[in-house]
Amino acid sequence: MNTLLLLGIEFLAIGTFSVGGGLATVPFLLSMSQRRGWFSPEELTSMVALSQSVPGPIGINLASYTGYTVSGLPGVIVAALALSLPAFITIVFLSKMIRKLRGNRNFEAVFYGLRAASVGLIAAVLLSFCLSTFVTLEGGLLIYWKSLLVFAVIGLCLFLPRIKKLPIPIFLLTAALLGILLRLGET
Amino acid sequence: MHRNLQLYFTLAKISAVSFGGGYAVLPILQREVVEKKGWVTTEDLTDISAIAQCTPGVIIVNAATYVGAQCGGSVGALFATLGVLTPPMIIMSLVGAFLWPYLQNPWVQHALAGLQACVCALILHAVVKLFRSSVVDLPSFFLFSASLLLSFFTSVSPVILVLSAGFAGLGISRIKGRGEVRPS
Repeated sequence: MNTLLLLGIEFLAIGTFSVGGGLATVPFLLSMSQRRGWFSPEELTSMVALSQSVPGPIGINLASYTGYTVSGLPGVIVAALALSLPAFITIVFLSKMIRKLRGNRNFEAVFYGLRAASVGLIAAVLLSFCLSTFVTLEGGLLIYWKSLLVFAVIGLCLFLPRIKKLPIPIFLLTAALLGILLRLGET
Repeated sequence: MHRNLQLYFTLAKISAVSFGGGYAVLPILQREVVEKKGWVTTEDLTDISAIAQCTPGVIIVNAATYVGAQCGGSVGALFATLGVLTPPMIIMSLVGAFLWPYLQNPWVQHALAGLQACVCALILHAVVKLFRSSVVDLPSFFLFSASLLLSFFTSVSPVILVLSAGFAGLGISRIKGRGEVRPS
């Protein structure tokens, strides 16, 4: 079968069955590499690292890069669109329901619970991001003080009146410059 | 500018400056589509983040589609989703074609480490904001803590956690015997 068509079907399946964000697509890509042989599992590791290092959402970055690896520019378009189609259809459908349900007592009660749990999940992601960014357990507990310093500076700025109104890219740029000045990449 | 084009370019901008996963994009969405454009509310954003946990697909696509649908119907949703897809498609094609060798450069590594710390600060900021609007009393604090702890220390699927919290919310409102559980 045509490679592009296969690629599209693979990513439609990933978009339908991966739940919980970009990194949830990685297990599916691993199985894809084993079944199709388009790239090796080792290549996948560097694809994931790369997708996290450049701007853009990980899931779409990863799909685009996989598409590029498999069949160039047409692959990028097919993979990104196919990955997003199931979510698009689901949410367009749900958003109409949500509009109708607003103000409904049971709906509000369910969402009261959903929202609290959702913030908890995001806080858990924050914890694991922080652990991997600021702490290592290799050879005893080691804290990356310089990263923690950048975190504290940016975090403080985000809560200061007036400064917090600055565009987000300014914060990102400042953090990148601080990273270079403090030589954060050295471990 | 036409509303749909505004949706396309705003979401493209958001997608282009987001680092990390879907959660890293929440603070930027909050800033751009809630505070600047007023297309959706903070509660909308928390709702969609909850929905995104238990529906298929990449979180930012869910969020973009939702924002687009809320302010421009299905066509708005299409423009918003395409907006979110465009920058990664261009960036990853360029990376695939040109950039790969430079990523091992130590300067680039330092900058990326700085960005990682910044992403943590941005997510913390988002969590604080969402916490204020969503965790409004003791039962919701309990649900928050339970999902935080279970998701951090166990491998329970987020789908299960979010769905259980929805049922718990229904139960809590029954026990309280009043309709107004949502802060206004």
